[in-house]
Amino acid sequence: MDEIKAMLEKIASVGDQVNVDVVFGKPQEIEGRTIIPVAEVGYGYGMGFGSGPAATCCEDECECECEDECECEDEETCDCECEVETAMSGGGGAGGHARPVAYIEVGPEGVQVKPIIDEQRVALAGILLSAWAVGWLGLVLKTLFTKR
Amino acid sequence: MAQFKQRTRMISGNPIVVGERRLLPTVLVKTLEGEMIPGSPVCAVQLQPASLVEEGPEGERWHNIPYATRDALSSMGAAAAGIALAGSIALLLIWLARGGRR
Repeated sequence: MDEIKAMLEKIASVGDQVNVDVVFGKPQEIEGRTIIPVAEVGYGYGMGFGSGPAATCCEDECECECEDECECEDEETCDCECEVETAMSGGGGAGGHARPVAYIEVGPEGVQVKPIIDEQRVALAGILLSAWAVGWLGLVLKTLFTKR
Repeated sequence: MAQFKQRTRMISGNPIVVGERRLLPTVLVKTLEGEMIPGSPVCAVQLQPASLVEEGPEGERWHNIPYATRDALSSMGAAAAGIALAGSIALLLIWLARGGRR
């Protein structure tokens, strides 16, 4: 149990151990210019643990039900030896993402921050916006030209 | 019962030295942590680049780090809300012009 507690405390401290270097990448020299990639980074985790009785063998004091670790020594005298063990189980998951946001270009003329546009997401959003606008226009026109 | 704690911090990193220039990056860190049930921790961390301070021969300059994709998507979201509002007003006006009855 102590090991699990220590592990949980260690994992819980992940939120405090933030490194700026994951957002601002290593400078790269390209054709006399220095490029520094900049990204948005996110990560998360979740986990859960539980415990409970693994085997309950004697439901009644005078009835022996022998399963797993239980031993029924003498059914007639109700001499049972039951072991109730505690089982533990757990699971967890984690994930992360990184999206390029911009890059910093350092050249003879100075430092310039140039944004990066995710064209795929913007195009998809544009298509959805167009469909939304056409839908509303159609609804208004249909209402306008429908006879009462 | 779920208990969550949200924190927002601004942290600065190690200076990046490029030639005569020193670049000091800062990052906005949003942390959400808590427990859905006791003993089951959940944590989410988001790191967004905030700004860059440049120290060079010309002096100090502050650079904003733009997030063009998010800005474009926010504009489109605002446009979608505006279209829905305009459409609703148009439908309301049509309904009122027809006497306001079904």
